Amino acid sequence: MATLVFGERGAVFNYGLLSTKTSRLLKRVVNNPMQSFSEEEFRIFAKAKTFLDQIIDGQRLMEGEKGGFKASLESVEAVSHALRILSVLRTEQMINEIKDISDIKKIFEGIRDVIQVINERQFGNIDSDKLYLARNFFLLISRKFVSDAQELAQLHPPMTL
Amino acid sequence: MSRASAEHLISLIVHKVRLVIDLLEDISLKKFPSETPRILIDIIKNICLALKHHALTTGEDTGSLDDEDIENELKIILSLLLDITPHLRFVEGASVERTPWDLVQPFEDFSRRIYQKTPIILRPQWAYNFTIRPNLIRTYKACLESILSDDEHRVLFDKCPEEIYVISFPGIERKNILLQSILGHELGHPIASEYLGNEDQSSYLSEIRDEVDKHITETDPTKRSQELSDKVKLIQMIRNHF
Repeated sequence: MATLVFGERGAVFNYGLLSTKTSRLLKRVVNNPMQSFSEEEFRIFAKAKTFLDQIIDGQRLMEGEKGGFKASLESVEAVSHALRILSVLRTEQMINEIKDISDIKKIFEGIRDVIQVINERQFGNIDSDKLYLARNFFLLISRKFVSDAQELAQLHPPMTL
Repeated sequence: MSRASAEHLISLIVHKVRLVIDLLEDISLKKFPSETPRILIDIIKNICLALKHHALTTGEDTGSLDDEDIENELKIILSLLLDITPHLRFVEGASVERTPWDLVQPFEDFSRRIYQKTPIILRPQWAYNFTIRPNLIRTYKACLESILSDDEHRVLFDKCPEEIYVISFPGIERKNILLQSILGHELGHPIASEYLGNEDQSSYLSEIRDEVDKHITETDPTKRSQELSDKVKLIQMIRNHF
């Protein structure tokens, strides 16, 4: 994944397109757990895992962990996008109530586990609840990115087709 | 969500690409004091064609356009296209009649002594300011990374320079040769950015986090994280003004 400078508009388009593609691929797994993917599609999963790694690193920084992870402006950017949809995931009852800050990292790690398992072609080992959560995470975050992208392109009013 | 929505978005993308390419062809008829604006014309044109191709082939894998993910993807592609369109002003403004054309070549030669592989575009802007845009190509690459295959990415960017710096100057001072000496200052910004980019981010991010923690009494973790993010954004904005 190309290094994105924090706050650059490229991040919105890159993460946005990555999220829509990942959401779509995960939907195929939801519909057919023995789904096969092309090398190009596995490349998308690899990028999605990098995105989740950044989110988790960012969250570890937020939680005050010292060392053992890579804190960067990119990771803060990634987690700030991801945190925006936590409340939506909760409202939709896709995650349990967050009682402790460490619960947040576990949610993101669960999503990363799914992507990791798919990347390793271990389709039989996919936890169906985590798969469902991962698919919805990418669907919901891509909706946010659509809104951000339309804002950047000054599409007023946003397209609501 | 409906198939009709996706089809409408595709037709919008195809139409906008046609408009942008028509404009690029008009602009390319102008005279430029160097070849760099034409290089950027080709890059923007090829990006538009790649976006169009991607829009037209979206959904081919499943044979269906009736999908929210596809619709979201098309909306982002359309937004990206419209976000890139204003970059036409960089090439349009770089024409001979808009620039101090006799300054462009000497300034390019001077710039090349510092940045051997990074050509520049000099163009006027109505804002009374001098600016440099140092990451145009890198942003294009990042935007397209998730929709182009490695091969497509290579075809699109292999022949273009690693980066192009777009340097803007106040258009009303076009003939003020003394003021144009400030242009040299703009060439220093990428060096400053590189220097700041080499800072140990982990170290100062931890310090920022600790400072923010002190000021937050609420226990909502989402809010705490957002405040940290806002603070880091503020610092980045300040740094961008170096």
